[in-house]
Amino acid sequence: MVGLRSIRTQLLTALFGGSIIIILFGSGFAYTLVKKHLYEEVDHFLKDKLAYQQMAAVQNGERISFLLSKPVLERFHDPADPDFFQFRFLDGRDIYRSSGLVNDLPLVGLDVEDSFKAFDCNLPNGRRGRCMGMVFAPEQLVESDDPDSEISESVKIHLVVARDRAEIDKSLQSLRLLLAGIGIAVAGFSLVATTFIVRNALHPMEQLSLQIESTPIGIENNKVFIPDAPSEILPVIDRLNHLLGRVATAIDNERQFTSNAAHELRNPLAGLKSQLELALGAVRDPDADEQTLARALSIQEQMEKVVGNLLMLARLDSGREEFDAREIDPSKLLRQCWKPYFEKAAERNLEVRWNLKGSPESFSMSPSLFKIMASNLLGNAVSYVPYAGQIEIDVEMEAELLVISISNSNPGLSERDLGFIFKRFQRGDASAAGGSGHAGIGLSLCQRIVTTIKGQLVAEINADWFRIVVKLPEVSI
Amino acid sequence: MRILLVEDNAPLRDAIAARLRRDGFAVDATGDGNEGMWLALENPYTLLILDLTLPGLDGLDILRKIRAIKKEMAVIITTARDAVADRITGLDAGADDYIIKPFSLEELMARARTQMRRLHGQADPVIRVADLEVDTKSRIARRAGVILELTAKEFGLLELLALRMGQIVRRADIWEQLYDFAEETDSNVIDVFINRLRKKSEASGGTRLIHTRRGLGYLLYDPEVSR
Repeated sequence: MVGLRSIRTQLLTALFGGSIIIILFGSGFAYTLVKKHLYEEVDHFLKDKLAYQQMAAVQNGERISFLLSKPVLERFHDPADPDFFQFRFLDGRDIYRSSGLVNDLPLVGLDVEDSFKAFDCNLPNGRRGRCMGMVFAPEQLVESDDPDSEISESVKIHLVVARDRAEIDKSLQSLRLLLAGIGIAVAGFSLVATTFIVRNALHPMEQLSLQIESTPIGIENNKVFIPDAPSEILPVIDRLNHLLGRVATAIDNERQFTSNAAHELRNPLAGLKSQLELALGAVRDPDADEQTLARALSIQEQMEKVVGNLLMLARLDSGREEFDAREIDPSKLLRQCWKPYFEKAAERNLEVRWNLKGSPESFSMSPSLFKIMASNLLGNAVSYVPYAGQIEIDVEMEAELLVISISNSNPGLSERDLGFIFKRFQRGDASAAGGSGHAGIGLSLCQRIVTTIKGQLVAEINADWFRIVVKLPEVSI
Repeated sequence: MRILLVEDNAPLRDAIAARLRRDGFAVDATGDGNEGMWLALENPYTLLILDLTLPGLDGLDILRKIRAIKKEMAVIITTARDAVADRITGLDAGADDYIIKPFSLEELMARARTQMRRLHGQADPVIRVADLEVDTKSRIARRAGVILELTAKEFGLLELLALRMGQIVRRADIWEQLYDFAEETDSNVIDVFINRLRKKSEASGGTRLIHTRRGLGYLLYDPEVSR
């Protein structure tokens, strides 16, 4: 079964098998045709013989005479003659027969239906033959010139003629051998030709297979190319190249993402390690130790946030994550999300203005997604705004959409920065981050969340402000 | 020895700076690329420890600008970028060494000492002047086999003189190499340290190795060898 899974084997089996069947049928047909023809010839000969034998028999009173020429008569008595005949009365009494005929010929042609009908038979010489018979009434021979002379009663005679089939059988035997020889030769040629044709036809497939095997996956511009590829596999090659391109891009993105993720985690890890090493290498001091532990905890929180965001991105990217939706109070949730940044905003002497009058009391939304998005946007605003800068948070309804606008004093971003602030692990002018613990995936994650719930997220920049506007549709519960 | 540390990760920056200061190095630390660049160009640092991903100005840009004016300063890059291509780029830009985050502070210290020795043409971590041994690796000095009880600052001064053995080191240079911007110093603090060093190194006898060149500065050498 495994062998038959190979296209080559299947094609070879089908084509060669088909050739053999054609050869067998062809040979059989030719053999049958020739045999039929030869038998017909014999039968024709027997029919003629019956005819002239019939004509040769005459009834003379009670006697049956045969008017035969001398050569014919000599032939009848030639023991080597392959032809036989036998005249009998209907009661079986023998009248006249070939001199070489020892036993009786079969009783064929007694019935009208069997007259002139050829049969295979065993000849008295032990060989196979064809025989044909008929019943007839010979002509009356009238020797008197007196027209009133009495005519004898007509007698019916059964005549059977036969011919040795040895010659035909010999010819047919030769024909069989010839056809078998031709068949074997044609089959051999067919096998060679089929193998050659199948091999040539499958050559592009082999090339394709080898190229696929040797083509490294994940390298851009690595394409499969088969010169003079048959039109049947061109779509396969095109599709394959398209897939290779997509796989390369996906792997590259994955690699880049992993590399960036590792990079972003290494920085806080380096800080954590150095802090602990320093503390371990120093003389024990409760205050210094407390400070080290507080820093370690802060770094851990930063890393936890990065990892959490990465996991959320992966879940959203997979497209298989389902999030619960329920009625939320957007302004209340925004306030909750602001809480962790309250102290930091105060430390940075930020002026924060809230405009939540337009916020609906109830909005259908996934609270977990909303919190992640709001937390990232507010965290970014607090971290990136210049010292003593301003932050404005506006919430309102626009048609059926919840519009959240978070603006902050421009930290030095320009229009060109809009091109990459949504890219993962990109942080505009990093000076604004200033080691704030942002991994550069917050905006990317927010955009992914908004896309998931079919909303909109746009960034706007002017000389004074950097603004993120989010428009969210209600999510069906 | 004065070191400039440019690193935007505050906990890491603080830890490295504290570790370097513990060994008696003067450290100026900043988390901003532009400020780091300005400091590197304006001050005579022996070593620059430079992060690549910096706010303001990229670490590689800082490095290229420093090397463009051929400033003599050993540079160690500290970065989380571990790809071979990144290392090659960093080293080709003029870095002397490259260390991947997260690293051990002790490894960074070892690499820093190596680079500073290399800058002064010293391959051996132990510098010997007569019977004085200055072990830059273990930060220990011995005179005639006896360990000298030196503070980090005193060892730093001795190390500086030892690395420039036989050369006059100006008081201003010593002051620059021993003190960072955060430290307040008196004008005669260098003389005080030199005196303390002399006392400690000559406590068990032996020839004077730290010499004064009035109006010029100080130098460490063995007069027996010079004679």
